[in-house]
Amino acid sequence: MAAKKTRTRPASSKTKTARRSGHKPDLWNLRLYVAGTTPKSVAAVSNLRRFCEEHLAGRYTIEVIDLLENPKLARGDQIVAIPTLVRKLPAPMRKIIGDLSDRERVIVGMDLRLG
Amino acid sequence: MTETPLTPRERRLVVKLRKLEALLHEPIQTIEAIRKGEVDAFVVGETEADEQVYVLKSADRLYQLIVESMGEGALTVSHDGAITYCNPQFVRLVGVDRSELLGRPLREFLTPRSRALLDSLLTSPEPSNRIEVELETKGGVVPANVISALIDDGDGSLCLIVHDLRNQRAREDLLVAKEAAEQANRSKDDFLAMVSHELRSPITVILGWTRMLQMNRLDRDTRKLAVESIQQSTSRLLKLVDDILDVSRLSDGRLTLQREVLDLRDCVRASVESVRFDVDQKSLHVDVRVPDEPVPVFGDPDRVQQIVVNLLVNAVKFTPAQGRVDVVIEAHDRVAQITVRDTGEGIAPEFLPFVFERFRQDFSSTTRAHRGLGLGLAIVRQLLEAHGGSVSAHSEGKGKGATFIVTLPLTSQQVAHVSAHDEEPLPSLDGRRVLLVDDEVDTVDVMRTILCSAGASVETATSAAQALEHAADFDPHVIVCDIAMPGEDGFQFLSRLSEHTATRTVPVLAITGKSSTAERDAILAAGFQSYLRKPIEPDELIRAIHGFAREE
Repeated sequence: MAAKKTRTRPASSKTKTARRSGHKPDLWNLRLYVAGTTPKSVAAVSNLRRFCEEHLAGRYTIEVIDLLENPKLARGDQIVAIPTLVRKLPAPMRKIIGDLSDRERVIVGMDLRLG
Repeated sequence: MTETPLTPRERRLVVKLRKLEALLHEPIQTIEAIRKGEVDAFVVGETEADEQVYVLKSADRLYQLIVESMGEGALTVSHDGAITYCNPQFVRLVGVDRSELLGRPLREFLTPRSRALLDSLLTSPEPSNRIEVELETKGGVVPANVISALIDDGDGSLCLIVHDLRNQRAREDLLVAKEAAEQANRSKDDFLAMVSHELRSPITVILGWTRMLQMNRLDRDTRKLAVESIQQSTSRLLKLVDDILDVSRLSDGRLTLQREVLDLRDCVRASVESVRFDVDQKSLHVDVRVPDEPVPVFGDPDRVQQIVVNLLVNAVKFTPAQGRVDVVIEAHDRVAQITVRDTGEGIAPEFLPFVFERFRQDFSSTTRAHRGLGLGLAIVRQLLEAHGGSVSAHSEGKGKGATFIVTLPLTSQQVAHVSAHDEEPLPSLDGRRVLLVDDEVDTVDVMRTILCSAGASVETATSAAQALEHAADFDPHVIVCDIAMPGEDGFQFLSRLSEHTATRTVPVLAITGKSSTAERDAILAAGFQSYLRKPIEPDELIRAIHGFAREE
């Protein structure tokens, strides 16, 4: 897992370090699997970004993995359909399959307690 | 709500069910997502080794739409250059159905010249490249820019974007044409300004002296000076008009040469004579060296003389008073060479390449200290080219004089007998009756005075009708008739004249202001004995009349 090829996504390394040093319990570590720039992949990236900015501002990191570049990376999280979002942290691991266009489903799937 | 406690067996079942549910959660979610169209790619493969991503065809739709609707031609070709895909714009560009394009080698739609370019693109594909080719289309050859990108599928196929360059070319052509038109317009304006200036100065001289003569207050010597001055200005005007016409004729190839075998020595001697006046005025020393033997060339005598005169005029113009001009004729193996060398201003090295161009004068230092249109040398070069000869200019630089070297091919033919009638005294027209017909009273007056001075008796008419009456009564030996007259012109007059037996045999000379050979041919074909061109030289008129009257 450690050697994953990623495309960098927001939450710059600076904020990442800040979060870690703060040892906040609810740091969200998200991983999005895409296939190049297929329409659903592109949609998923932008939907996720918007969602996180709205509900998890300052508390998240996103890692985007392009399976077209390296299909073998699908094995670890047992990805079948693309795009798929994996919540690595907070545990337990959760998966949402699809382009994340249905906001309600994302909230439920991520087990996000609002408020 | 009361609950019956579960039996241990039941509890185990519930846990099992929950686990099953958890296991099924992901497949159910996946199916839901597929149903809703939220996924467009899958990871397939039985083992980790052959796992790969399968992208649904519809996922490319966005790009397909872009490519299919874009205004540039787009296509993919296999490593051997066969078209595997092309978009509608490329189909439009080539003008061949898509079904016919697919599978065909792309090189078939390129001009032979462009095929090599494509071949090199295919044999050594680079990640991206740009070439300029010519497409062979239904509508002719189309220049196009081709941008290529190597498709990373490992079998060397390429993606090509084809950009039609026609509009760009048309714009560029338009720009060049516009530039040329503007340049031509500027040249024309400069030229007109110069012509206007060149015409005005001799006209000023003529007008001034004529007014003075009219007032009749000039003494004998000044009168002589006035007349000479008027004569000179007039020839200058005539020369200008001739030069302009010559340049126009030479540049569109309308000039016809009346070639004959002539002795170059005669031409040069006559040329030197014709610039004698200017030479004397500046007290120049002109040295002419010619071989003892004739130097025969095949040329138009008037034009060859014009070549030499123009060079002499040029030498005289740029040589200060007391200077020296050398004219040398040499006959080499098959070439006659005329060298005109002066001790004048010389030519700046940077201007040397342009001396034979039309409308060019070196303005750099003298700011037009010299008159003229800058046509003389251009005419020289073009006339020489028409004669199969050449001219070159040499100068050591400003102030060091200039040398012009003319070559003309020698001919092996013998020089024909040259009539020396210029030396003959003017013949007398005593007892000759001449009828003059011209609607311009001034012209009639001048010609009458000339002919009367030679002893002829003259009757005049200012219209064809009047002339016909006089022709019957006066019984002229010769009739001189202007071609361009209002009402009945010279041609109509001639045909009316030949209807009457009494006048049918009278020789008629035409006078014309036009100088084209077509006009001349028309005049002779109509039955005129000969023709004279305006302006009329008195000697020429007298000799012509004498010639025809003598034949009677």
